[in-house]
Amino acid sequence: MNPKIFLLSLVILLVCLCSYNKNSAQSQATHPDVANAAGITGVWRGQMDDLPAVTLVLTDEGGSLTGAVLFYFHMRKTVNDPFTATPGLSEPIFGLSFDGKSLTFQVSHRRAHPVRTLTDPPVTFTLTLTGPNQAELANKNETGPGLVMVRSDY
Amino acid sequence: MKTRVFAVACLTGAFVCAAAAQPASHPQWVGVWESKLDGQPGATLTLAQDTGELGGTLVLNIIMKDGAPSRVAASEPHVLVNPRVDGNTLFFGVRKNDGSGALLNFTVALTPEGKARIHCVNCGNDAPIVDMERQWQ
Repeated sequence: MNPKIFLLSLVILLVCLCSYNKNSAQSQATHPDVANAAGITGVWRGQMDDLPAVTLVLTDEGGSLTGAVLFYFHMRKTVNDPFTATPGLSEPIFGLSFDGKSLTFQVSHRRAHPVRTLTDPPVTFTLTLTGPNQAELANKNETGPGLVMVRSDY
Repeated sequence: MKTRVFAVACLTGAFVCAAAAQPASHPQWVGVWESKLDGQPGATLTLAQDTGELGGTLVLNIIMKDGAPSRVAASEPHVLVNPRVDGNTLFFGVRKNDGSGALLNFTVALTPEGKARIHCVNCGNDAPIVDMERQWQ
């Protein structure tokens, strides 16, 4: 190969690689999900039987839309005792996709009930806006009505 | 000869650029870290790299006694804002959910014993430095 062509190819490769890195960093900061996220960032809370069931925190403060989810266990000591809510383990959510009405995200199930869940695949959820500060949370693996969620600001 | 040197320099630069694009791995951090207060979980820090980037959540629990055995009365998850690792220390912020929207800045330092010490650096002079243990990875 002609040395000059070889060198030119290398320079182009170098420029392309560096340009790709720069662009990928920029695209994360201006991701369309972030631009649309104004209506869903905040703290979403869902209840079942007047007990906390889910808390979902969504923020775009770090430059991209991220969040945390906390599910509660509802238990009672005996059949005569009232149910109480105990928080489980908070998990970061990932794979977020927001189309302006529905937010789809995934939650790792590995740490949900260890050791038996350590190899579980992630669980997919959809948060669908149903009104101002109101939404419905549904597990994609389950049928039936979703859980009503109410949003508040930080 | 000059051509070869230049070619090697270009290739090195390309590899450096490619390496810089890879997210750093933080196996020493990934997992669930917990501090205890009266036998109850006081703070739980969950760190994951599900997306390749280090991210996670912090749960600050309110422990109540009210004449009975200690129990977790309230529990709020927080998203880690701008987490970054510098040496043996993890830096991140969490936004308070109490309506104030204040950003609390935390550091978590790994100890030689494999534990970690969490400290809120802008929560006042009396903010405690609390030991955390990794429950599992």
